[in-house]
Amino acid sequence: MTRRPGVGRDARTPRLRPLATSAALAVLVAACGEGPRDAVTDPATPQAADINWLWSLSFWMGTAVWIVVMILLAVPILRSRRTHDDEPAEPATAIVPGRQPPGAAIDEPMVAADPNRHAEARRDAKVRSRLLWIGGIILPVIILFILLIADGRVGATTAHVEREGELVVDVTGHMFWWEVSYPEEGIVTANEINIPVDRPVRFRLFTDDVIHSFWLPPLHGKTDMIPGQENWQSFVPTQTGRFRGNCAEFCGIAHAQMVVWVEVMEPGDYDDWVLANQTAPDAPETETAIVGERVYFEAGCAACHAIDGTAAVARVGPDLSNLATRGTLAAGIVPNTRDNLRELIVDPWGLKPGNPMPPTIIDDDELDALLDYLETLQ
Amino acid sequence: MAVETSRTAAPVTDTPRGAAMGTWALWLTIIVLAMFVAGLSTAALYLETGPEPWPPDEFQVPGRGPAWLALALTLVATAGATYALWRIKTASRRLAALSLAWSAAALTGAVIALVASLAGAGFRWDEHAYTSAYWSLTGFVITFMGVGLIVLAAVLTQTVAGLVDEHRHLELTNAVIYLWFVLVSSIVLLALVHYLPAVGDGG
Amino acid sequence: MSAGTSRPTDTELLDYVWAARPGFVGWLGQCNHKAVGRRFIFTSFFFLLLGGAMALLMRTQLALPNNDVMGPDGFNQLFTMHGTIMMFLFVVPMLEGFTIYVGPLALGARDMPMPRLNAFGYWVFLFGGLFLLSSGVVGAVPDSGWFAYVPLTRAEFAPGLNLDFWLLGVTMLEIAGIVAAIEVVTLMARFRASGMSVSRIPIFVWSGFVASVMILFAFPPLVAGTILLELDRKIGTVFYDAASGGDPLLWQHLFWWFGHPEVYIQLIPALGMAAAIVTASAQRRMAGRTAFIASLVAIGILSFGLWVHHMYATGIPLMATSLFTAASFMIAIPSGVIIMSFIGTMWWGRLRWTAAMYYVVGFVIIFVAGGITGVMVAMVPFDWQAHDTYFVVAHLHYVLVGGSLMPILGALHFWMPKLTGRIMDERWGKIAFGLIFVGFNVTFFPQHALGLWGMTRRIWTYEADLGWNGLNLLSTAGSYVMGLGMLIFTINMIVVHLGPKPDTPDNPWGAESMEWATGSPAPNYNFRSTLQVASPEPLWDGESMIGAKGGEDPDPPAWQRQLDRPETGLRQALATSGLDAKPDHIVTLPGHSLWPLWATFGLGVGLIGVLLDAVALGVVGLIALIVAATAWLWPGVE
Repeated sequence: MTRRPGVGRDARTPRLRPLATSAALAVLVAACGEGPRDAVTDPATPQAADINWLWSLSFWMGTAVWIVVMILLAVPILRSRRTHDDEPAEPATAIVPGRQPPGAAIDEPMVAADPNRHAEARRDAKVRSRLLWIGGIILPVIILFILLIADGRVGATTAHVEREGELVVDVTGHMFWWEVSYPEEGIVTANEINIPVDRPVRFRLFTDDVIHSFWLPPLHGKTDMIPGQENWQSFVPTQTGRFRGNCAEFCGIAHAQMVVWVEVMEPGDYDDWVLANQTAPDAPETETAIVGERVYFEAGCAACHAIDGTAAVARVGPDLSNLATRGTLAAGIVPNTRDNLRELIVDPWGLKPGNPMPPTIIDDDELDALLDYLETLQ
Repeated sequence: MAVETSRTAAPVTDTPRGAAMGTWALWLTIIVLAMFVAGLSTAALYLETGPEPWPPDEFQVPGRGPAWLALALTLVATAGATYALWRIKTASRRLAALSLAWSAAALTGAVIALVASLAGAGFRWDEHAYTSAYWSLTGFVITFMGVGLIVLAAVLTQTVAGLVDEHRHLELTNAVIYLWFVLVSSIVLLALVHYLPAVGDGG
Repeated sequence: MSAGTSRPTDTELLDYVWAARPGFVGWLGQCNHKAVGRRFIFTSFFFLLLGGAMALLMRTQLALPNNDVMGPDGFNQLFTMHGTIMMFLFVVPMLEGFTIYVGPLALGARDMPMPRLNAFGYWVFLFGGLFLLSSGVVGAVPDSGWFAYVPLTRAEFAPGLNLDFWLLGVTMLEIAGIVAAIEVVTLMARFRASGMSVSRIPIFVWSGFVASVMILFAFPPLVAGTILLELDRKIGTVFYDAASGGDPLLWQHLFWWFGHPEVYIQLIPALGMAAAIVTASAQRRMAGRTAFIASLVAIGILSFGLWVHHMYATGIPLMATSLFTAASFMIAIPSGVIIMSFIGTMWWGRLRWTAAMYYVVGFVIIFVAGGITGVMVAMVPFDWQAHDTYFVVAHLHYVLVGGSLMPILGALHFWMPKLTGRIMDERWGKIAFGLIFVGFNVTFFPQHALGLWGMTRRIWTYEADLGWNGLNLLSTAGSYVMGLGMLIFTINMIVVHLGPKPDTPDNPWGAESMEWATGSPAPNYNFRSTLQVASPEPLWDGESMIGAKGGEDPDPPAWQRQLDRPETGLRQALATSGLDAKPDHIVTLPGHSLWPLWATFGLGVGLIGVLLDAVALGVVGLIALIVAATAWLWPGVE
């Protein structure tokens, strides 16, 4: 007689709960590292706060549901520890002569393999019925209804609408940088956006090539930039700070290194920033900077990068008029330091593989002069 | 529904009820092809419902004459094949074969009419989504008809060779059902490319 | 046929008629459902391991910030192929393989209704998989994601052959899926054992049927969409080019019309597998059996109304997207009924703790968590935050691994005796389960947090100062544990097949459906006699079944004698009809045929011609396909 697996002395109930607990603990331990920079759970606008509220509600309700289901699952698992020792030894396929065949009805009576257990199987009919009706239908309907109402409410407050007194900023996604323009203020810049606090802002989102997605978690959810479409993202920033976001729709080889920064400033600082950017950068004054401006044109930078107030007007790549005031380079991925800028110019592909910008072949003196010039651009 | 017996199906009871495997396979394939046509149609409808005029002003909707001719010929072909099926059930194999040949000729004419309509369209497939849809949807109709021609040729050969007769003709039944599908889907697809554009643009 | 003058027994005759022809050609030309089913199962298992290895490589790269295990092109190819292999080459073919192998046995049939079509489905699947993998040989591996959004995948942004490999390979795999679906629908409609009314059909067969009907409606529009994109790439049509009147969102609509039902196509047969395992383990009928089956059907239908929930961030107005939130919520109800049904079946606590049952418990734990995060991302404002981040990656792995992989691994344990006559080691099976379960949770649970902390999908590296380092490292560690578990599972599967074949009982688990009423592995002819049933659990109600060992029909009609003793040498099966499955007619089935293989070559050569812009090759392939298909369908027995 072959021993059927799962029966007898070595049938063990699964040691799942201790395993699951240790997994959860491991997660907590790891999570107690450094905190995240820009989290959905650190909202800086009422819109993001509403979404965060919706997340919290669904998280707690969801956790409660999962725990309840796990408790229900645990009941039979625990019960099975007590009942496994009195299993019959014969295989259930033995045809028992003289036994009555069951009725043709499908759900009544409840059938078990061992005819001696039919009565026992029928005994938990009420529990099964309650599980299916209450656990499977009634409770889920109630929970989902609550969530649907909460979702509707948050949907209304987070919709991307025009607001009175708003600032309109146009952002166009490129492979792999962000073109930013303030239509009313007449400013064109790239990769870093400055907006005033407590004033509604509406981003009009476009793209020049493939689908990108504009996303700063503490400010609002993401909105795709789709060719041929104008999409909006609008919110009211209520906290100052510097916020960071990755492009959120796979757009090609350097998708991982297309980062946008939004700085929310006090109104006074913002007005100063607008004024500074509406005027062209001053002409270079030091000797190296003057040489650098010449290098800028001779080395081919002007073929792609525009600078306000000069003969460089091409818009293939980011506008560099306020390059010196930016915090980052190469679409937000490295700090704006002289060394990083040097590397970006001579080895853009090492810094950012797939960068459409080609390396610039230039000797060290000219490079230093160029860097001096670029450091004057504000 | 009486069972359509084939070479490989032998009734067990006196009045078999179910359809043969080949019939099931064909109807399920028709569902698949219909969903494919639905996908194409939805794509064309989706593209049409944009803010710009469809077709854009620089294109003229080509004349509908060839499309009407093609549909008429397809109707003739389908009717001919249906007639052939009717005749074969009454053991008139010769009439059935003639009818199939006539049907194939009509279908060939339909294909030629559609190819001519493409040649005379006045635009290429790569100029606008409208022209892409015009060329592609017409091209798919031509493809369905082409498959229909191959099927007709095979069944005609089988009829002439006596492999298809009054006792066993599942192949012919399936061919007829397929041709009705070709007719219906041609109506849908050709209507989309010729009647979707706003009334008054050429034609 | 036994030599000499003695008359062969029924069994010997059946065995001879239903055996494969000798030699390599005979092996190649097998159309019997058991051969085709086994091929699907073991080929897709190989693809599971391949896709898993790709995942381990990706996690290795993401373990540390600014890591340089590989560059962006390698990483982009890996995530594309990981997704494509798992979605198209593993889950659906594996489920099809089990449906093809177990389905006829569970229904009491001797084969699938159209064996050559069945074999064709396998060859097209194999060719499609090899076609996709061959992109690596020529250095043009697809690298734009498993859903290949336009315009990134149009010729101007993806100029190489990479996306052509993807589009044409996926087209072949869709054809394989559609073909299998046609077979399974016909199987359940016509090939049931006499007396197996609709209410008596096993749950696993129901689940295969529902998934197959879904395939018939979900796959063709994607075939249309992929053909349109391939036309865009090859001849310059502009369906998806916004500048010329096309629309990139059209691709997303066509893709997700397929894509959403696809994940339920992947779930539903797995639910059927888990149901088979749990009823055998609990030794009782499924609690709420009718409600369970009705829920499978409800999920199948509802799943077609959800597709826009993958497009919430594209600018579609909130009013429209909210409809899809409501629909996505609705599908949680039948899913809840199904989970409660599982728990209700287990409720009395008389459970046999086989390794397969462990996987069912793992499925409930993980899938419920995935379903809950699914309800979260169904809400538009929250999805605006979670979409395209690691939160969604976590969600999709919870539902796919919990809902599909767990039941599949359990099914391999459960049905292995029937597939090959070997039983996988239970102890190592449980160890593997523990490692996979723990490893999975350690890998993917932290990813919910990573997503909410701003980590987007499909990035090959990340900066060191974003706060993502610890959880990424933890996630990678978990992936290695899960990989170790899969390795142990694989070794277990291989090792039990070494050495002499043991004497495996017909029904080692005490299960209730008819595949367990015959030998392990199932003999060539499946069942010695034509079966009649009168119960949903034929093996638990011995008197309800006629034809199994010990309960033969004392006076069979002539046609049944012909079926059970095929003196004509032909393979014949009984087609039953109607809701009550009354005997209807005898079908003669082909046994050996190479036409499906030739047709696949024709199709494949034609598509290679399209890939390489080689018109001559394309025409040759087309002609070969037409010739093979015509010869295949030509009247005649074989």
